[in-house]
Amino acid sequence: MRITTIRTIVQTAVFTLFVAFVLLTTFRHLDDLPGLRWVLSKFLEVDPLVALATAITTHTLYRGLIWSLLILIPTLFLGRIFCNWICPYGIIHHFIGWVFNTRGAKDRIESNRYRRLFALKYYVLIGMLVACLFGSLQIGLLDPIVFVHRAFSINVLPTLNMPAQNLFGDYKLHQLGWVIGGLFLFFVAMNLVIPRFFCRVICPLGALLGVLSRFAFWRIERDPKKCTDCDLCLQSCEGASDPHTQLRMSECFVCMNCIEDCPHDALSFAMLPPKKHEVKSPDLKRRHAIFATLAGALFFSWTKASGKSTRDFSTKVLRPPGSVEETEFLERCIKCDQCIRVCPTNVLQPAMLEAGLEGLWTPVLNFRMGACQYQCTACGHVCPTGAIQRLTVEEKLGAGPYQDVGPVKLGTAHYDFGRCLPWSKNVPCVVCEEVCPVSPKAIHSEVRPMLVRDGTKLIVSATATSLTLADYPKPGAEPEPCTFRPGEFSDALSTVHEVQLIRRDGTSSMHRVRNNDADTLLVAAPVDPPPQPSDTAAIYLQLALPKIDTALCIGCGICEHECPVAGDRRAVYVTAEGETRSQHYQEGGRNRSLRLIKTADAGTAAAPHNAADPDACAGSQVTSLHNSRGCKAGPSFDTITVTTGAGGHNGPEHEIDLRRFLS
Amino acid sequence: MAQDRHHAPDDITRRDFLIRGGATLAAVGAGAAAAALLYDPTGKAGLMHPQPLKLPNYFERIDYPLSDPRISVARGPDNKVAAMVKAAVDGLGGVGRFIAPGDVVLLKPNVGFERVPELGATTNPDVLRALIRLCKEAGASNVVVADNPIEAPESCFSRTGILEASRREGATILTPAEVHFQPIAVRPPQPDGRPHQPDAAKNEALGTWPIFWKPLAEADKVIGVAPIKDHNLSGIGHASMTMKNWYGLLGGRRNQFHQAIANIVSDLGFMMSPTLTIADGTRVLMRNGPTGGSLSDVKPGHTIAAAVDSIALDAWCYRNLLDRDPANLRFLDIAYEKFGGRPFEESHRFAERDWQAYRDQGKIVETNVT
Amino acid sequence: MPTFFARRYMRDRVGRREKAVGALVLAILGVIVIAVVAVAARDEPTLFDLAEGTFRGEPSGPHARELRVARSMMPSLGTAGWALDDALTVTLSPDLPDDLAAYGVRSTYHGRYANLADREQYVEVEIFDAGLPENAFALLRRFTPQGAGPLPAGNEGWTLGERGGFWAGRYYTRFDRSHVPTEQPGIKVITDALASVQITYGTPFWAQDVFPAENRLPGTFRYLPVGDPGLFAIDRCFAVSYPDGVTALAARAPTASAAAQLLDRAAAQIQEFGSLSQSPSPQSPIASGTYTDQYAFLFAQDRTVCGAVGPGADRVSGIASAMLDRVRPASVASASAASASRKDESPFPSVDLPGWNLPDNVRLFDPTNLWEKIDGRADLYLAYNVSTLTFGSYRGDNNMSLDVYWYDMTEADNAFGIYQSEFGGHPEPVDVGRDGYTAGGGVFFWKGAHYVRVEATEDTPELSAAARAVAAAIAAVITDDGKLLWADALLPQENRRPDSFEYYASDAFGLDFLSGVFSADYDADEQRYKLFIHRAPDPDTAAETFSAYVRFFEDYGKVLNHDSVEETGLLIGESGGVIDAVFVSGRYLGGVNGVEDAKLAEGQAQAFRALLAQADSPTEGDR
Repeated sequence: MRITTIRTIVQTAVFTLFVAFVLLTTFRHLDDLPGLRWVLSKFLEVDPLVALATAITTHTLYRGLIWSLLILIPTLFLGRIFCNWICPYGIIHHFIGWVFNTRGAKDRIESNRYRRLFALKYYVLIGMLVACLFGSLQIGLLDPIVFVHRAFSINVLPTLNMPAQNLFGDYKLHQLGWVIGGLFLFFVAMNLVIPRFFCRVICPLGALLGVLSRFAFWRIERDPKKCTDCDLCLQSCEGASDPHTQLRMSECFVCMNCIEDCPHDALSFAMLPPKKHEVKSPDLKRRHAIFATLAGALFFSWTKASGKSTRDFSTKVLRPPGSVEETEFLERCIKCDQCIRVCPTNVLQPAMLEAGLEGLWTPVLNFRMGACQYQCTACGHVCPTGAIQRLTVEEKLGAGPYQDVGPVKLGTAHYDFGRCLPWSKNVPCVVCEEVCPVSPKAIHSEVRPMLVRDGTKLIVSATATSLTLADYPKPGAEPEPCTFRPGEFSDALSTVHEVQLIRRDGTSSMHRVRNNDADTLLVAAPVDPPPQPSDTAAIYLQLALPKIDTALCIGCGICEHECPVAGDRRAVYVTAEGETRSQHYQEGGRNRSLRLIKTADAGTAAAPHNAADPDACAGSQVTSLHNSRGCKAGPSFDTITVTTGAGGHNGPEHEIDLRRFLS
Repeated sequence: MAQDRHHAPDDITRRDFLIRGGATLAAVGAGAAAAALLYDPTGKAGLMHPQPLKLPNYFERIDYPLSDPRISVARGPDNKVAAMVKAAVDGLGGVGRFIAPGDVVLLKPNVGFERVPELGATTNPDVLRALIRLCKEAGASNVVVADNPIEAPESCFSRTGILEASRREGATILTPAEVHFQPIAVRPPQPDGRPHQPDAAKNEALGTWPIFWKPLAEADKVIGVAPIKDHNLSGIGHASMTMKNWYGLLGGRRNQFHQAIANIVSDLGFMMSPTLTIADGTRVLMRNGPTGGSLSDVKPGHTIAAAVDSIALDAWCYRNLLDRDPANLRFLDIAYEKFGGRPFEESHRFAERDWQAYRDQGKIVETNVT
Repeated sequence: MPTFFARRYMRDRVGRREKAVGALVLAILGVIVIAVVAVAARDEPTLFDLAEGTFRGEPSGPHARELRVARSMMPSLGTAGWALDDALTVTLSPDLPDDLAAYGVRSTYHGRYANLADREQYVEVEIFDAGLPENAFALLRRFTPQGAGPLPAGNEGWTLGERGGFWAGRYYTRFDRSHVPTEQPGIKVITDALASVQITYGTPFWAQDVFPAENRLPGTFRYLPVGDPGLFAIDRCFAVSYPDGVTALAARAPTASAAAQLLDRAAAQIQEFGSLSQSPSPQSPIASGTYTDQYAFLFAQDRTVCGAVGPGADRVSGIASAMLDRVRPASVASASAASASRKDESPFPSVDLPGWNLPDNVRLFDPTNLWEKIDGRADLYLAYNVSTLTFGSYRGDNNMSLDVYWYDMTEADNAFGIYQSEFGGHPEPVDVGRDGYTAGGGVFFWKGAHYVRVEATEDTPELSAAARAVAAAIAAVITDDGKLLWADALLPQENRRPDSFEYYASDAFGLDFLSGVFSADYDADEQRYKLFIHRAPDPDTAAETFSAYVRFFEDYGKVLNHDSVEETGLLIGESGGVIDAVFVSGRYLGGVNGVEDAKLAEGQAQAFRALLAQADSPTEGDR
């Protein structure tokens, strides 16, 4: 069997593996086959550029990245075999070039000659590595492995799923995914202009391997005695490495096509052939290299100087659970978007510019798409570089052994009172409280009576159980009878209305409304003393108003996701403030806020306040505090006057001895 | 020949003419026909909704005289769950009464949240297993387990142990996808085909609404199996029970219904008449519902209740499992009004009556499993 | 120089070396694929399930919440060499010994801190939830053994041998280290940690400063959840011992009425076991008497019930009255007493008339809503600075009824003023209150700061009799010093015209700057003149009013003694043909009003001024 055939077999097998890995990178498969977590990100882990770049930024080699030797070492012996044998993106380009090959032989030969342009990739590499030196990891933008993972996760596979929803369920949505897909397609299409455009011109990984391949033992060797300079070896040369003259080792993909094509047996794959037949190193121009260095340095300083990752952080930038602190995150995240692929709720999304230019395509949480699953830590398990650390579920929940550490907090929820249904629209809701996953719930609701629109009416006549009401007249006018919708306040509805009687002598009391017609309210129980004409009746709706306990909120965002105020600004929304990962890093100021930092004692402190409440005074309202010496304020007040019956004002009063609540 | 052509450009045979003319005419005709076919003079035709489907009444598919018991309660230790389930169903006359051989049975557990079973926020997988086995024994050709969770489906099913339970017993899991939902007319559409407009004054919440239809489509019998839980909404008496369980069949932006929760829950009872309803009282979530999240919220209930009358069942569970006063279960009254008193007279009054009387009438049967 | 993979090896068949390499490559590929599949299919613990017993730390079962509280009160020390072991138990009220229940204990939490070095050594900790700090305090007093030394933890921490305790907030905590052989320095860590999670009830109990400090027996301040064995009617009270067996008590009820009831119970008990010398009433909430050779003096003040019990009557009442002063600041005394009585029961006194009973329709009006009751006349009353109107109808059989309007005018001056401006009808004096008179069956009078109208629906003898009785009863509860009005006393009595004494709340003589003026008419040798007097809060305001007077004459008339006004301080002015003579002395502004003769005016003014000067002095400022 010919070596090229073997290459094709290997290529097919490798590509199949690659697709399988990305395909299997889902919560369900990781849940069924935990062993997958050793496998799924392998292609990223064997990528030497990823290993090198993250090693530069973090001064460590994270977990699986040691596997990059698997590629590195063979390269040192055999040259850039990776590019034409293993690299999935390379394989795609190779395949496309073969399928859409419309050129004639002569034309092909011309298109495969080496060009100055091809040196560009080395400058790209230099620029990116220099940026790494400063701690900005950008290789992910163009590294082929990362690139192809990203494109498959964000575009290719969801697209394939679209017609197959009946089998595989809903396809995932990704904000501005078409940008990633478009770039992917562009480079593929460029093959029709310049064969292997991406690999020859852009690919920084190829450049790295090219530099390394100068040490290679074996290379393509041309025997000048046999060669007739027919240049036929060029007609299917993948790397444009000039096999027809001195071989450019840094460009050769070791595809072996030239050996096949040479009619005169002039070419062979030889070990340690004579030096004079080769060009060892890439043709770099010093000035260009300096310029690339400069560009890399400036890129870093200018993006950093924009402050997006520190003081001017965007509240939209919430990172997956287990993420390291933001600047470290940007030193680690290669934007492979495998976390986005694996996320079961689709909450993880590729950032556009929220996280600054550095953070392009890094994962952020978008709670309109989903919410962070309470007991899920999938993203950390597929992250190849440790930008998202691997958490156990206990660690994330702050349960079991981590009880004193407390849960991992992604951010903190806030209310937009102007949009919240109960707060501003007199509409009952509190879905947010229902779905809040922590126990005790971080979202709790306070039941309060809210005056219905134009709810203050004048009693024109009344019995013990019925009040006939009129609108308060304009000065000098006659009171006009009310025009309620009959049954508007009926307690047969799921809402509870109460009417507050405000008597002339200043006393007042709350009464539950049973039903109403156009202008008369029927109260549930007889009112004593009976209301008099010219007393005032105020109609209230009982509403549960949601509130956030920042000490308990973990910022999972399910409240925002489930909020029925469905606009782009939900009535409850989560921001990065208070996230655990920034706890010891104040520069970003994400934790500069009262009690937003979740700490162990906050956790334990939460326990008694929800546990020990001898008198629950729901819907009650404190009207005054006295202490034994009758002074209002001061540290030692010991009784508290509470008016129960949600009336709030002037309901039946009774005093609660505050000392029972101490401790 | 060639020369002829060359010399006589204008000579065109009749045959030629007919073929070419015919082709043109055919093209014109086709165009016109297509236009006529699609012509929409009012401009409304394109906006007409397809006639929505209607949910069948799964209770009327079995023959169950109202004189027979409505609720069957089985109490027992935690390690006897399967036996308790069997005892509970036997109390109503045995599973054979509800499942005919060859039936496709839909089991609707509560998988709403991603919680381990111990936390009592979801249906106890052991109860589900026991039920699946019962159905299979009764000759069910296929048992489908389906729910539309609030959190991500796959993780919910996996975490709650429902996935494993169903796999072990060979039941089919169906997780929701957009394509599985169909608009269902809970109330008949208006004459002009537009969907029914729910009237809040009549406590209506649903007109036509997308429902998790795929599992229902092939199901012959439907059994709801719901945990008895605390809930944060006062509109349903701070409790989520068997009637609320059908919430898991709703699609669309269902969270808007919390604005009138009693209406939607009673509507669910009105919309879905299951063959059988099971209340899973093995772990009762007493507070912090409906999500739970801490063992200290859970109370061991040692109870499984089966019923054909979910109104009465909810009332019973509310008092006997949650230890609360059914007087605040307004939504049961509302549901009862929607039923128009059918099928179970006065069942919503269970709350006020003394249970002993019902025991004496044999409307409640109780068994203890040891 | 070995080379391979060249066509010349492939003319007919693939060369051996190439085969070998190819085979090798495929083998590697195979190995990789197999490895991948093997690894992926490996059976591992699933990633996202919670490990067994994740919630182990979490309490569960029936007492879950109490356990939660217990754990929150027994912090895990971690590094300190001690750790709370799992043996954490909760006991709830029904299972508690009764004597604890008597101290209001609802639940006790029992835990153990084991020495990490040697698990056999542990410190037992027991926390009593006594519901109230008082109870916790009482528990401490009960459990503290003789000769215990102080422990710097919580409140009044004690330690003796292996045991110790303290109270804080509503909890009493005690620990026992008898299972630790040698004195461990670490134990302090435990006590401190325990104290740190409890709120130290910092300020002293309210009762501390109710009890007089002088010769109080040290360390006897205590709380009695079940009441003193002697006077058990008053329970849940603080107590302090004084020499010769005197015990002072102080209890606080949730409301004033509850306090009154408590006092009544005590009185009842004294009555039962001895003799009650003074029984409490809404007006004077005081109970005193002797029982079992003890003398008790108790009183209620708003929500507080205080008093002393002991052998010696004088010592007891001495301490009790000292406490009374401490409980009630003088300023608020009357107000609070009035409000207390008004809050509790009908403000109207009962009359012993057959068939007549107290008003059931009592309503209280204040300046804001007075018009509802007396529309039209309200402004007049407001001008006289009315503070409250208490209205009620005494009802008799065959539906006779008497409407009582009971005005509180805040000052006697106003009461008199409104009385006299309402004076009318065909008055026939009766001896009720001050200047009481009856007209049309009703009875009207003023007394103290109050003006009272008892109105009869019709003018029948029995109704008017009832009216007098009611009026008398009301007059009885109104306090009054019986003195003349200060102005009545100051204005000369001789040749004053009868019933000419008048009061103008405002705009006296149509002068807008002149208010609160008393006047009387006099006859001197067929000359009629009017003396008037006004008391300003202080000399300066009096002076201001005087200068206003001067300005009035400058604008609307002329000042006759223009140059001498300053030094004499006497103003004689003429306006519209009538002459006023006005002087100011101290807080008083007085003078003669409306005479034709300037001489007379000046003379009388001087005389009045002289009179005032001598009458003036210590009496000034009373009332």
